[in-house]
Amino acid sequence: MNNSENRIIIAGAGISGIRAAFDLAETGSRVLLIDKAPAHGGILPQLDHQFPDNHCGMCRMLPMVDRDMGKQFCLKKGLIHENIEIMRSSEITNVKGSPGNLEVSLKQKATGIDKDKCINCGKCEEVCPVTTTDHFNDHMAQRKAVYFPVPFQIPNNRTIDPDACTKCGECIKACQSDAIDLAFEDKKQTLKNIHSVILSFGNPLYNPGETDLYGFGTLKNVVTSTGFERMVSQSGPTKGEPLRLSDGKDIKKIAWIQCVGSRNIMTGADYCSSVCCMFSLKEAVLAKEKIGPSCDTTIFYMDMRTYGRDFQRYRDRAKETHGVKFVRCRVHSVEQDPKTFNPKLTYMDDSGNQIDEAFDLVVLATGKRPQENLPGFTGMKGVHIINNENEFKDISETVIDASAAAVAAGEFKETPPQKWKPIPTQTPRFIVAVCECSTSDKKLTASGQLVDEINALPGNMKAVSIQSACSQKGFEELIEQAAEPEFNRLILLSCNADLFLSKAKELEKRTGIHRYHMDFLESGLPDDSGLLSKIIASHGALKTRNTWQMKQKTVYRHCIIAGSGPSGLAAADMLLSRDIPVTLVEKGTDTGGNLKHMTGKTETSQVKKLLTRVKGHSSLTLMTESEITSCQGTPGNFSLTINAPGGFSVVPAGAVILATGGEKKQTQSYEYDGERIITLYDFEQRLYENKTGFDDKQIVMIQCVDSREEPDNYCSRICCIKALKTAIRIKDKAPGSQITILYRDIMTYGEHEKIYTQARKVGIRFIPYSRDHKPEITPSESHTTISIFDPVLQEKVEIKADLVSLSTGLRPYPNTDMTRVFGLNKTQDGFIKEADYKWRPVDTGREGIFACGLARRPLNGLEAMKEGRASAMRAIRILSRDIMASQMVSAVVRHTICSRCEMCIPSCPYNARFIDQASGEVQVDDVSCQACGTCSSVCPNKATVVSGFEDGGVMNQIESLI
Amino acid sequence: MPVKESAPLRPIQSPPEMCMACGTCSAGCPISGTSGFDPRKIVRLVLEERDEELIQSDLPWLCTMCGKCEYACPMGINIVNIIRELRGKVDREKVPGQIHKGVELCLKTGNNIGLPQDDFEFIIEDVGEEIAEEEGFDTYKSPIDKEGANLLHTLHNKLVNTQNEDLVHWWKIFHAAGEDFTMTSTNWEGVNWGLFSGDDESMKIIVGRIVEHMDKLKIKNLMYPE
Repeated sequence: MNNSENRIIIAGAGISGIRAAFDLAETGSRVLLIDKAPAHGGILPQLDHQFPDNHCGMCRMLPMVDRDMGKQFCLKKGLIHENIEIMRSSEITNVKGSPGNLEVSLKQKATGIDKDKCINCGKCEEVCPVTTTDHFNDHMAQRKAVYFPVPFQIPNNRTIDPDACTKCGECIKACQSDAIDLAFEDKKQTLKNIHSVILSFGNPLYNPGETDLYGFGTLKNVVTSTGFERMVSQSGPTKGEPLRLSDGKDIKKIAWIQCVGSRNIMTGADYCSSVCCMFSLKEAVLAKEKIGPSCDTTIFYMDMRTYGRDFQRYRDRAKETHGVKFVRCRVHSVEQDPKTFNPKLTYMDDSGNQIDEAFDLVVLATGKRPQENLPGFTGMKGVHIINNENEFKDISETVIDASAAAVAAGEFKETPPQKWKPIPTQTPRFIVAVCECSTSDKKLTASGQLVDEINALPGNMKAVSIQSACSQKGFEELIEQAAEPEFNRLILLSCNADLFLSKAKELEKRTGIHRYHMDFLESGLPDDSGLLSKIIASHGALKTRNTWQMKQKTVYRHCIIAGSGPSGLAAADMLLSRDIPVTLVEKGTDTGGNLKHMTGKTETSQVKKLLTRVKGHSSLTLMTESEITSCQGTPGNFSLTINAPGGFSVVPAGAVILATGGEKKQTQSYEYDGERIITLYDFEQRLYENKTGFDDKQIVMIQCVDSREEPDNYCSRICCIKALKTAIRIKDKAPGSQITILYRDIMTYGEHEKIYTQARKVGIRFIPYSRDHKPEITPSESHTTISIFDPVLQEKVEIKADLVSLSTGLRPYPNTDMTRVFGLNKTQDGFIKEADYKWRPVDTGREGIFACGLARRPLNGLEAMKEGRASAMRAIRILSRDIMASQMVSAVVRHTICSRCEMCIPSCPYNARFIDQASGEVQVDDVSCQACGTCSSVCPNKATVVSGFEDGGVMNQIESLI
Repeated sequence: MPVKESAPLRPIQSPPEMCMACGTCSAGCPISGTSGFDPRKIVRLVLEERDEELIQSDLPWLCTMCGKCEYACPMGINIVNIIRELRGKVDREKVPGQIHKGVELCLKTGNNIGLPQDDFEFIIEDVGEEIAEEEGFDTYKSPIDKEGANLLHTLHNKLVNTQNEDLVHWWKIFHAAGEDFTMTSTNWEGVNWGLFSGDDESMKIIVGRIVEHMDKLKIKNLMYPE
């Protein structure tokens, strides 16, 4: 490794590590991404299906601006980017020095197999006599001590598990290439001149075997959430067939038990694990999809924590459309029927009856365990932590967290304009390299028969035979042959084409053949018929690829941010600190957004600091009482019209961040009168103003007022926590007061659970109600009577309240809606809709325009600031470069035959097509275009083509294959 | 003092207010639903200070005090102690069945069934002699009030009174293992019904007697028969 190359080291190659690595790599930073595990991806390679559509979607994290720097490839399988180097089985042992010039010591564990020598023949695994349980399949299957940590990764190297290995030496005997060393000696090295370090450790999962309640590890049909994912995965122990592990029978009835290892002070877990409710909901819906709608699914829960923006509707659909059943009861224990192996649960139903029920499978929604002790260098300057809150987060929030850490860790030197070497028009001359072990018929290649057949073909092809091109020796041989000046096209036939994708850059550099002119073919072992036609097809495609023109556009190093609340300020602060000029457009007269309504000490002081810093920065232009009225242009080159008190002005910008915020909701429900029946916000205000007189008062707080039911069917996320904090303060001021909180589901996600515990401890009473049986309210002269059915007591309770507080939630500002101006989508509830909820949460459907904060979803101030920083990171991908360049494969319009029917424009999923007002032509924004090809398929007269996939080449390929 | 405050926080320092009404206790209780018994509801009623309702009802006496509820309680609430506390507040005349009578007899006579000392000693000796008749046990003798023994062996009144053939097994094992044990001629009762009736005061006296035996006879180890 080149010591000066990797300027940023990221420890932990899970989702957040990968997100941060891509963000930084896209800005030109060199990243070394390491992981303790022998594979990258964290938990994600184990999970095939993601909320909300049950697809994966991890590839949506791939770079979109400089696509040619990496490979557009499944991220679970491989991560290939020029600026990212991956080191597996490694960890940081020490960090010294100061930010910008750190000295980082690394330790890499030996995997027992030298990957440069190994030819992946698999003999070692065959002969290994040791069998152990497979962690990848959540210990539901067996593997050898020599194994693939993730069976489908590329490049995939077998690893020896040092804990399982008995050092019997059978593998050494079987290995033909002398690649095995069982001494397992750690490799240590120190890297200098490191700009910063990002720690992205994640949290370990709770092992339910720690408690004896649910029989995990003893009862075969009790699995964890991860285990269930493996059971429905193609790469799982049952190859995706949802069958029981005890007897191979079909699964028809499944129970999910929530809060296993969470919300349990007896297991040291006075916290909620935040993600398990949605995880189980998704799994229940997935079970219906995989097994069939008749599959009986029940979730046993205490509070369904659907606190994300669109989660409540997902839950409603799970219940109403898919028929998932919900039982509000924590399960005591699981027993097993000795004959059928059916796990049996006992629970209380809504009517207070104890029910015994047997299931085919029980899934334990296992939560987080706190992170192990963080290393001593964690708090150092220049060492940034993703998830310093030590929380479990869903993919969406993890990705936000990662981008927010990346922006703080990045150096963002201005990237010089890319030097682009034009590809000269030349007669194509091919070298076809055939890797010797790439066919199952060894004789075919060894005898040179295939090579002779290729050489006999027309079309300037010269075939050569290479031995094990995947090994270092073979690769060198390949380069030597291909570097001959006579060649300008390369076709490589091997058993693992994807492996060479990661080496394309090196091949280009050392052979002089442009990547655009390379093709990597896979022999498709064991069936190696039709190899010749594959080569002819590839030849046909490559020979038509001639010149390629890179188009470049200068980037305006300037960002416009709409909204000066916490998220907008946090974004501005980050950009300004990186010397990127910012114009803050604020509709109101004052800056700060909801700062005036904030009550949390930490968030208030953070926003105040931001305000001072941002307002005092010389590169800030602040425009109050102003509004953006139009936006033209492409990423890096936008032109915005801003309506300010002095008149209209047109301002150029490289990127735009929408942080237009939201507001507290008002209500007319529950006989709101503003005096004795008030909103939670009013109540907080009274407390803030030090109003007294709460002693001996009966106070009732009603949660979810006008929320989590149509039309505002979403959770506002802040109200439960706000209500509990307020109640605790009242109890503290006036211990004689009686407080009852009427709730549907207490949403104290994560560490906020401690507030709920505290609230109960100080004697606040909690009574749950359902959407169908709301509390009834009758005001009278002296007090307000509230009656509610208490399901615990199974009786109606009447409270004569002196004060009623209504938790009304949040909504986006209806009058600062920027979605029309920017051509963006809105959610049903008027929030700005992002490009992808999970993987691209702060990107919008239009590249270069980002959204954050309350305008996008309900959140608290700290979360809003984090989201603001994340959107700054995403904007810097564009703003840190001098030019935006088109990529090798992208859509092109042939204006001479374009009829301007405009069918392509709405078909583009990336909003990359538009009519150029001046010329009237359909244009492609080269940066936004992701070369998906939708446009060329809808174009009625072939006026739009995708470079590299022109008709000629594709027809050549088809012709050679039929 | 209401039960929610007076019930001892043992073994876990977790007040009943911590209850989040999750239902674990009721789901696991072997008698949930029997005559309206529901541990979660009892905790809730106690929190609402509706102690009197519970004291007047049969509910506290339906519980088997098996502890299955609190074993799984995620908040570590001492549900069994709450039930005991409620039982302790019931008028002693209204304590069901034999329990309170047993306690009274024990305080008076040293055992729950009021067995006189002569009868007790006769039974112990008689059973001991029967054992000595068996092969390999000819040296066996039931020890009583032996100073310096290793183990104090208290007795379940039922084993002495009606099922004394069960004592044979214990003693044979002790003999074969060479265990140096002893029983006492007075206050030998090992079953403390004050536990079940919620009668702390009587419990204390009965336990105090055993402690006294151990001090007097210089015994370090104690065996309870149940």
